[in-house]
Amino acid sequence: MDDGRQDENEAFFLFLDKARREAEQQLSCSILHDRQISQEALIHAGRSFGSIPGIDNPNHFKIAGHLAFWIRKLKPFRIFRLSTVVAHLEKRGLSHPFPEAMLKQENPDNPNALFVNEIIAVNAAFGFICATGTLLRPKPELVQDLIVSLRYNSFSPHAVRIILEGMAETPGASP
Amino acid sequence: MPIENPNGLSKAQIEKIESPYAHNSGPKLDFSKASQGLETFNKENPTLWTEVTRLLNQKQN
Repeated sequence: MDDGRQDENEAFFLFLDKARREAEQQLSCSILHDRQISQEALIHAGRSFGSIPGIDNPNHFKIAGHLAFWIRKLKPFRIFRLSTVVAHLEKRGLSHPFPEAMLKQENPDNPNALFVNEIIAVNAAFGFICATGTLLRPKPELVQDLIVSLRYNSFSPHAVRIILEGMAETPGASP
Repeated sequence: MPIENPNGLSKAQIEKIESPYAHNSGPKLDFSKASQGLETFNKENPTLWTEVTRLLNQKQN
């Protein structure tokens, strides 16, 4: 892998990690990031960026839409549960150093854990768009709907792009 | 039966088929800048994710 591609991957991982930390705070849990899968998502999204001959630089909504689509599809994030480690150790007859109180603190029934990849994908897309100076003030109801819909309904990368562009405010546009 | 469009597609139509989208030009990929954008977005929308997770909980329960 050339240095330029490696730098791009590293910057992409750090970018996603920032979105992951935000999700950790909101969901009150630890989230694992599988970088092999997120790199795969970047490769897949990148294929679409050059799909139009003669145009090297895709629109930022398109990049954000395709990245969000592939993150949500390949799911590089999952909730880290201490109880899984404990169960793994106990199964092998090994003791663990975790106090009972710490294990009780875990909330395995947190329903929002189901949407961890979708939350991170949408937040990353918003961040990418915001970096270009575009004003984004999405309604929570709409974002919640998008997150649930990304998990359970069929989407195309292009459809995600259109939704994101629809959420952005264009200066000078009529109300 | 008369033949319609005997010359096939026009040059402009071929160009449109090859590049059908209006929005396809923008900045190169810069994820360091995107990381800053993410911080800016979350600062500008400080209650968004709290509100979204509350709504997700509401729908689940």
